[in-house]
Amino acid sequence: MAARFGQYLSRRVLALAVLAARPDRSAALLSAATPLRRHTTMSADSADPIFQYVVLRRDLQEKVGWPLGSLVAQGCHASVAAIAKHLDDDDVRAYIALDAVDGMHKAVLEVKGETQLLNLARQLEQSGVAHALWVEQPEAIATALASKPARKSHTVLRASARSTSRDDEPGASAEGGSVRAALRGAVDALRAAGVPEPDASAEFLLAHVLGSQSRGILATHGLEPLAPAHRAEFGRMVAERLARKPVQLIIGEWSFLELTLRVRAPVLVPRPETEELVELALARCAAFSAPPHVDAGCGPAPPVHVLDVGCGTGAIGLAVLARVPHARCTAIDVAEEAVSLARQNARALGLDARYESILLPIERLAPSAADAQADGRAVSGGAPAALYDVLLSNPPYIPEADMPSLEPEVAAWEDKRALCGGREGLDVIIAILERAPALLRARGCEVWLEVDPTHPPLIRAWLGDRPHVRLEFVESIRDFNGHERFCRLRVT
Amino acid sequence: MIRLGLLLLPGCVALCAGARRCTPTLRVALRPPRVRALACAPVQPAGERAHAQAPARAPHPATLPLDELLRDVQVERTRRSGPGGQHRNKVESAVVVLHVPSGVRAEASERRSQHDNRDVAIGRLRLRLALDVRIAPPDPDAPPSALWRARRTAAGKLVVSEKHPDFPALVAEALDAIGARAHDVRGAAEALGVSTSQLVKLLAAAQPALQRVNEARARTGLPPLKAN
Repeated sequence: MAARFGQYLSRRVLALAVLAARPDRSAALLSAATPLRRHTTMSADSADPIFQYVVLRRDLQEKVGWPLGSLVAQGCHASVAAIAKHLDDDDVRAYIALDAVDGMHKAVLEVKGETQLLNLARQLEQSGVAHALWVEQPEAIATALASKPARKSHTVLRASARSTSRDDEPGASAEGGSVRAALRGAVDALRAAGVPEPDASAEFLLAHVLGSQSRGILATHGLEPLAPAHRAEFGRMVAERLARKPVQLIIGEWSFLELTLRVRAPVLVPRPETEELVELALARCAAFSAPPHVDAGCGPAPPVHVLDVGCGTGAIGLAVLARVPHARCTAIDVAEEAVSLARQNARALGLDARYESILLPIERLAPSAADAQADGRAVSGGAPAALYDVLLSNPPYIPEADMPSLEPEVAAWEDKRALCGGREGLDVIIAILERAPALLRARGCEVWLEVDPTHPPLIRAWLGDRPHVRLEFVESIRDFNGHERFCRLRVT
Repeated sequence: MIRLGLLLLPGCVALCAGARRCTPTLRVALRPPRVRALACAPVQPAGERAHAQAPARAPHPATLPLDELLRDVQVERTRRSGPGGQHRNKVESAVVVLHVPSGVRAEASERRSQHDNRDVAIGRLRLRLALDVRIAPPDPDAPPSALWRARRTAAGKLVVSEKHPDFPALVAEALDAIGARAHDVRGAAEALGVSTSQLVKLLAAAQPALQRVNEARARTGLPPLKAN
């Protein structure tokens, strides 16, 4: 189809009128020329001709500096897509019929930028106007839009585009439009762009805009009008999602067990599997249950010192602290952003009295008898003492070979150091296992790891080859998807 | 596992329809044929005589405290393709919970964390259990439960919000009482110590409870009840 149209473009001159939003800035994009018609059109056609509207983004040329050819290409893509998507339509068939194609009518409009283009797409969706939104890949930016060819009398695109271009507030619209309609427009735009989880993405974003952490609010408020400020904010967020930015990073926070954590690129966004790691460790690890004398009311529980290796947002350590009042946590990470984000989260949750995060790789967390202190707290030299009661970790565990196939949400937004565990994905895990017996206080203290499903047998084998390492493999546990995800080990 | 006949309302699930999936600790009560019994009530060991002391009213699963209910609940594994874990960042975290003895399921996906969705799903499961599972109280004239008595006022009003965690337990008790009386709602209300309109109001808040009761009443020639 594209080639065929290309032939027509080079051989026929199409009638194009540029209707600029502001007459004083008429674009010199395309020259108007009279159409060459091979064939007399029917009287119905001349009275109510079939038009296709193509909408281009002014900023791509003026601000982003795209050459004219690229801009034209976007318009052509959109035009072709709008036709291809509706080949069954009577108007479309009439538009591209061999005896009418020489007399095609198009009107080219402009909008200020991507936000306006997306707003327009949404308005068309609400008004039920068939169209195609062109999203250029792999950049995932919306560049042009074209209507399905239709009788001129049936199209409201012109008015919508002009009113959109005239808006000063990005995304503000004089038209109303319900929450549900805005959602539908966003879902369609996301789906058209190939963004995964288009429904869930749009729903969580819109729910957040409306002040809720739950998508359920959309069902109860679906028919209410969406305020212009909310519409604008939602539009901005959808544009970010079109760039494959994860929903959690767009919103800036997410839930982990019963906590709300701030999240920030490039720190790894906590995964649901890690929630399971914490729950399993809390349920099964003896270190977390209060000793009998506490249950009997005979005194406070002695503190439990947790070491969180690779803390990221602080999820693991903070979730434990929230549930275990007598726990303390030392968290380490190699990324400055993670260490400060974890500290920020601890403060926000009121847990900072029992939480410390330190910029330190596990290799430098060597225990030193001279530095060891009775309560196991960090010494000011930055090399914390040993004497932890339990070690929990979600270390980077992705094998190198898997890294190239990661989806953009992960590859483009999250710290590789939080993901890649070397050739087999075991590098950091092995570093932890080598040091755990020295870092943990006594025999029976446990190590809980989230790992790649290939790892449990490899870890068993690694331990089997090294009887001098004072660790035994207790069990591996499957996650909710049935993958062998969690390893539990114990100091011998 | 002996499967007993159970008092069923249409649309309900026999408590032991999935009897083969009952956990090994579930036991069956033996009853004289006149009174139908809950299949999963505590049992007298085989050697004891049938006229040994009758067990207290077997609890409806919707009324169980959380830790006891969870013993019979499985979180169903979603079979998602791909490795999961660090490889993927998904926002969808739907949870489906299954009450194994009855086969009743519930799900939730609107919250951000799997943990929160599980909480919501269990809450929904309780209500489904209240609606779909019927147990026949061994003694229809036994007084209402402590929870019911705590929630009713001297004037025969029932005070509970449908969002409250106690709501499903009350619905279960109400429907069991109604079921035991061949859908005589007025009689059930009297036995429970509340006005008929209050009982109907409770059912209306737990749709489709009222609808089901009215359907059953229609089948036996009784007129439908309307909530105000």
